[in-house]
Amino acid sequence: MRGRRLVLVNGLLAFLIGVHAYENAIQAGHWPFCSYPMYAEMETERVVTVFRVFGVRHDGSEAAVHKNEFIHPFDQARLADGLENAHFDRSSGVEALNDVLERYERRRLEREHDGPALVRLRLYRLTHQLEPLAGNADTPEKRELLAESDVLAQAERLE
Amino acid sequence: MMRALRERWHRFWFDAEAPDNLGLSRALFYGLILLLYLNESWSEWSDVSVVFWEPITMFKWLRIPVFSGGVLTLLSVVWKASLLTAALGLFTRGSAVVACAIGWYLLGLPHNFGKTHHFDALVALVLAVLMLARTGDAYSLDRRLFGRGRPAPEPSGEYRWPVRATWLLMSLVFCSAGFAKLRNEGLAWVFSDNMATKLLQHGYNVASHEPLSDIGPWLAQYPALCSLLALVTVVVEAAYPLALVSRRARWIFPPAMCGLLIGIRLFMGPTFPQFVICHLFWVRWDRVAAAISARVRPRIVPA
Repeated sequence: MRGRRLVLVNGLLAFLIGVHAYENAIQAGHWPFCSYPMYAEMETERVVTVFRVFGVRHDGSEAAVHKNEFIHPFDQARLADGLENAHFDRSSGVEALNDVLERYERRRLEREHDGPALVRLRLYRLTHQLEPLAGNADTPEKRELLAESDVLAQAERLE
Repeated sequence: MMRALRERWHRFWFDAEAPDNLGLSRALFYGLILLLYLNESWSEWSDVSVVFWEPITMFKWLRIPVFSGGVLTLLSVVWKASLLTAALGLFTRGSAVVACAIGWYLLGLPHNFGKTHHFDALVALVLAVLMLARTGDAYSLDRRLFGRGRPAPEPSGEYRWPVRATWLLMSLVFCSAGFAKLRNEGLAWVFSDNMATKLLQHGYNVASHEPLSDIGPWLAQYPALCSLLALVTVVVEAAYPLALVSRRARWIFPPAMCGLLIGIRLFMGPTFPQFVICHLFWVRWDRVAAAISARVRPRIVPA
């Protein structure tokens, strides 16, 4: 290998090591350079809190719509964090839910998923006491309504 | 002392090698990444509301916008085509540059909305390494179409450092993960209810994907088993860089890490196929190809 090429490759290797060391030192992430905490935080509390979206059907009953097929292009974790940040940091929970609802209904009408028809979405904070085998995963101890979307306009409610 | 170290460094990265292993690794890496993202679409991100917009550093500093749905679809098609041509080794250098540039944009785009996942960061970095490497000198259409009559490429350090750079990247990633656990919580991360609690919490679907099995909450009933699992996790992650320098460790840590990544998917939910795919660089594919051809050749010799 030629000298200049050697310098370039060695520079690249030093850069990769240096940036990762820096990210670890400041415990931050500047994608694609990250410190990879990967579950590093300790979990010993016997409680779990999740932010979850429920849809309201035409008859007023609720349906869980957090599964990835319903909320594309988001995934469960990304949407929960996004809604949490929009609600608490930017006071835009309603606007965020309106956006998710419009996309949900549009994709449902285009038959991209087979979820129920919805007229609005609600964001809840659910608290579960941990039970063996997560037996109470569908029955949280505490259910706190944080935000509610506007009702979907009549014109958009095409069956 | 310094001289000896410098020589060891040079030998580790730049000892001459034939281009075959790098060529085969290139074909497999781009091919598998193409398969993984074949049905992926990014166009929906164009109409996600700005209330979700929390730009990552790369997008913020370079003021990279979210393009329209049509442009995102076009980029997606070009990216997949570049992965295919890079896998085939057709216009390899150009394909690798396009795959890296568009890949960084498309893979980075979702991380601007709500949460930054880490599962694809390694792919972005490997794309950058391969873009700078001479990966098309073997097992490529370039060699077949444009290299006729030319002598076979001489063994060179050019064919060794890219594979080792991917080893380095994986070592940095997984060692960081192990280091973060020990730095934040020390041995309490292993010898406490931490792992049992984590496994049980994921039974409540708190991750990006639902677990593929109910084994996590079941396992959580056995704290000693969970602590053992936590110990294995920390050891495999923190000691992963040993695979850089020890042949024996290469038989232990990369396969064990793949096992852990699959375990996370089964027990907790999050998916890391990108990390598993990157592990292909630990395999000497030139030796695999030689072994296969040695087995096949006698069969096709006429009786």
